[in-house]
Amino acid sequence: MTHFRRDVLQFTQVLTARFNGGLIVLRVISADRLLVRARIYQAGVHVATVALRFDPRLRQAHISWFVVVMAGRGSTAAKHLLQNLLLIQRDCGIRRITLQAALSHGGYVWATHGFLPATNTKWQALAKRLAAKFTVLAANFAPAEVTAIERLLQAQDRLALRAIAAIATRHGSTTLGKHLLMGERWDGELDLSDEPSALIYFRRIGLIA
Amino acid sequence: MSKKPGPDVPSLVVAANAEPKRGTRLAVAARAPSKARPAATRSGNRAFVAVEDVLFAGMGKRVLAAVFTDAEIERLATLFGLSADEVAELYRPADLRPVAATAPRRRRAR
Repeated sequence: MTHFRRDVLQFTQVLTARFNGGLIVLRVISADRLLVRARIYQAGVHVATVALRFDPRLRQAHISWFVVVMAGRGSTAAKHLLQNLLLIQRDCGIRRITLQAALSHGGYVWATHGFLPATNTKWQALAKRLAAKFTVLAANFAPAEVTAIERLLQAQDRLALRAIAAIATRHGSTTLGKHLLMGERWDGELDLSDEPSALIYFRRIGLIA
Repeated sequence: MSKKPGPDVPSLVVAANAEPKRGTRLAVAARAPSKARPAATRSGNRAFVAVEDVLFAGMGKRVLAAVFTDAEIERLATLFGLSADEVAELYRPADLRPVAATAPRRRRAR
């Protein structure tokens, strides 16, 4: 709480703002790192469970577990919780949010939320898997599209992930960018001091239009 | 993997406008930390889904056409040397326009 500069009660009130209540477990682990586990309630019903690690000295937070109940799908619960977390992260001076993009949608969803692979090397490892996936599909696309996509997949810069996620060319009932990234697993980070990344994230979690 | 919190860890129940049902809250607060993860599937309304799924559902259909703003697309295009034609092909395909906007209006039969 030293870094948050407020007491535990205020910390938990920010975390549960716009929700009716929460069961919060806070634990300081090794030096200043704070482990947060929270069960969030809305109208007496448990709507979400989150597990986070704050490392204020490194100005870093890690989202390790974040689930909402089925009823929360289509509601604003997830966005509100991410907004609450952002307020805490801001007050703790957090500059970097990390997570593992995984599960069925995570590889695509977190890319569209401004997250990038942790390093260029990690992007290149992911790009190899995407390139193998694209090789099978390439015959369905115009030669000019194939050339451009292959150039992006060979790029050294991790920002190429964003260029891949944004591809709007149709593939079946979805887009090629989404198709390539769905089901992928990568270690992601969001650098809040990088203005484009922060703006993408703020827009996605509903802070700006 | 982080360690599970031990029994000495302070738990705090916070209530804003209303709080969870008293019985439920007390039962949860008194219980030792469980080693079980939240179940991926439970019956009815209480089943958990990953936040990725929720955010994905929240994106809606518009995400197909506009994942990022035009400014961000332009920035990426410049960075990776994509030509205007390539940007048009990859990021602004004509067939992403809503069907209602592209299809000719049919006259109503009388």
